[in-house]
Amino acid sequence: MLLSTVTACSITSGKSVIRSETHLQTEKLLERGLRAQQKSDLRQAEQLFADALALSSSIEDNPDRVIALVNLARLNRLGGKIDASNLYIDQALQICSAHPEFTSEVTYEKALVEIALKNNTDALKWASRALDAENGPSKGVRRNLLARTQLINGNLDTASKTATIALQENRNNDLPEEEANSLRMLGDIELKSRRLELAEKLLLEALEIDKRIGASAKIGLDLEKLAEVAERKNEPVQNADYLERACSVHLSAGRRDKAVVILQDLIKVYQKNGDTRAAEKAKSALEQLVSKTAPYTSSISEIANPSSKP
Amino acid sequence: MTREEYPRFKHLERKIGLFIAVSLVGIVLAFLFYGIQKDFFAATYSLHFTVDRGTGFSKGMPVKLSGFRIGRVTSISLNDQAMVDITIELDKKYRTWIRNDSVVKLVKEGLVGDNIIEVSAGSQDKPEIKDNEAIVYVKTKALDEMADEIAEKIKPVLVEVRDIIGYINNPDGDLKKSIQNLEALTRNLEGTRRNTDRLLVSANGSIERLSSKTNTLLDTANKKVEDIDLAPTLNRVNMAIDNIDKKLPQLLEKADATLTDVSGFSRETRILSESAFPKIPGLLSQTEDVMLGTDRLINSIQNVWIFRDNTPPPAGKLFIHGDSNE
Repeated sequence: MLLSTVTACSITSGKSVIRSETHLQTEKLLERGLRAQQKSDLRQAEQLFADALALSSSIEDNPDRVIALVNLARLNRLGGKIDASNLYIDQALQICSAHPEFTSEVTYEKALVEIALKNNTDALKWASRALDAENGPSKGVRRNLLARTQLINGNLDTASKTATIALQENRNNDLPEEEANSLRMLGDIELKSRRLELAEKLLLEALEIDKRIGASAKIGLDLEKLAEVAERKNEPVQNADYLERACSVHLSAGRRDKAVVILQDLIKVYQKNGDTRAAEKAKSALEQLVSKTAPYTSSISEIANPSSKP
Repeated sequence: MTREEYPRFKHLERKIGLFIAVSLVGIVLAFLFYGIQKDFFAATYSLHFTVDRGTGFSKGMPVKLSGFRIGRVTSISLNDQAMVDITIELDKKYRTWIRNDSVVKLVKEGLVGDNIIEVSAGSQDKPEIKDNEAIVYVKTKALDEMADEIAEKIKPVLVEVRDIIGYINNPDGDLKKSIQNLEALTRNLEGTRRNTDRLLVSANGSIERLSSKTNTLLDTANKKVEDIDLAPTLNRVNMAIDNIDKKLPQLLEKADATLTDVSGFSRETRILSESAFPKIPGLLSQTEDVMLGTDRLINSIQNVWIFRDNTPPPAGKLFIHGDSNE
């Protein structure tokens, strides 16, 4: 019985090519790099992707080269090294002309690099190419980026239409993070169009999804946008509350630079509200945060909930 | 005796005639000599130039070349532009030196000498200046002009000097005050010295009193020290030392034994390390072989048709997730 099952499996496995040890080794390096990146060990990840790139280049394994190059470009971009990122992605673009299956991913990353370089027109062009080249479940992801570039270029109406389609595609493909991105973007568009109630509703929806999937950075972003809505609605207490929450989220995740910016806004809001005590506490926390040496956690918890302290 | 007979009047006409003739010759010679001196008989030619002021020029004033008189001013006249035309007459034999680039200028002979016109020698490659042609006049600074210029330059210096003197003489100025302070200090020095003398005399007495009191204090302290009975304390210290003395050899023996043990352990560790260290590279190499073998075994197993997964992993799964909003 077992033998017949095994034989059937082997027959149904169809025609296949035995992959060389070097190929397997490259893939292992890529997988290990991916795991290191997921564990936030970015230095290790970069080293592993660089090794994978060297190994794949040594055997002209272009598919793996493209993957390694895109991953290196992405790592560098997220690490703020945009020039290095641009070099990697340009190499990937050169190679991927012979591998159309990667065109969508490579052009998508190129668009993200162009956004980081503030070349908004080029970003729009690359995002559009990425969407055209995509035929799989990432259609909504690509469309989200297109909507983002349209929004950056000031085309609110077009961006709104694109983001609405992207929202539906991401819901259909069960991509909650991108669904939340679509919602946040739509909320932002509504905020810019001064339809504040709708903007708040969309952003709260995005926040709910982000909290469900535990995307800390996105939660912080949602809260910042909600604070902006509250400010426009002239609700200073609500504004301060959202900012406190956003600050706490960013600090807990170690995003000090973002926390510093929010703290500066928060001080202004407290001063505007006439809450001098809270403003002083926020100032002291900001000073501690800027000095980077003093412990700041207790002060931040106070900022997050200043009314709880005497 | 008639007039003709008087010997003094004999040949009188002849003598008078001779006297008049000699006088005339003398006059003519003197005239000739003066004329030669004043170049009345030398062959001359004229040049002219124009100056804005006739001051310093006079008719007949000498014209010199390299310190030699070669001519004179013959006319000075005011022209239509209220400027002064001056004509000079020069000896023709010096004509070869007066060329187109020659210039004339009014100079003073020495510091207090007369004004003269000085002509500079021209370049030999330039043509000679012909009779009645113009020669270039170069204005030189007159004494009054030079004096004005010097005065202008000296004026600020004098002002500075006046200010400095004023500053020095100012009774409220820093310098005067400093001098006054210095005087006051010098006057007070005498008083200070007298005070210092008094202080020294007073200090001398105080030191003597202090010395006698210290002696008394030391005597008292000596007596107190002599009164203290140290015997019991010393006895206790002696006993403690005896006790330590008894126990110390045992302690030392124990420490000695411990050290011997430590030394033995150290020696054994060293021997063990010496024998183990050379083996480590080999062991590492063997471990690497084993790992490589294991890797190959796993790969082989993966390549057995039953376990074989020849399809490469989906490319998308090897990409880092690229968020559209990052």
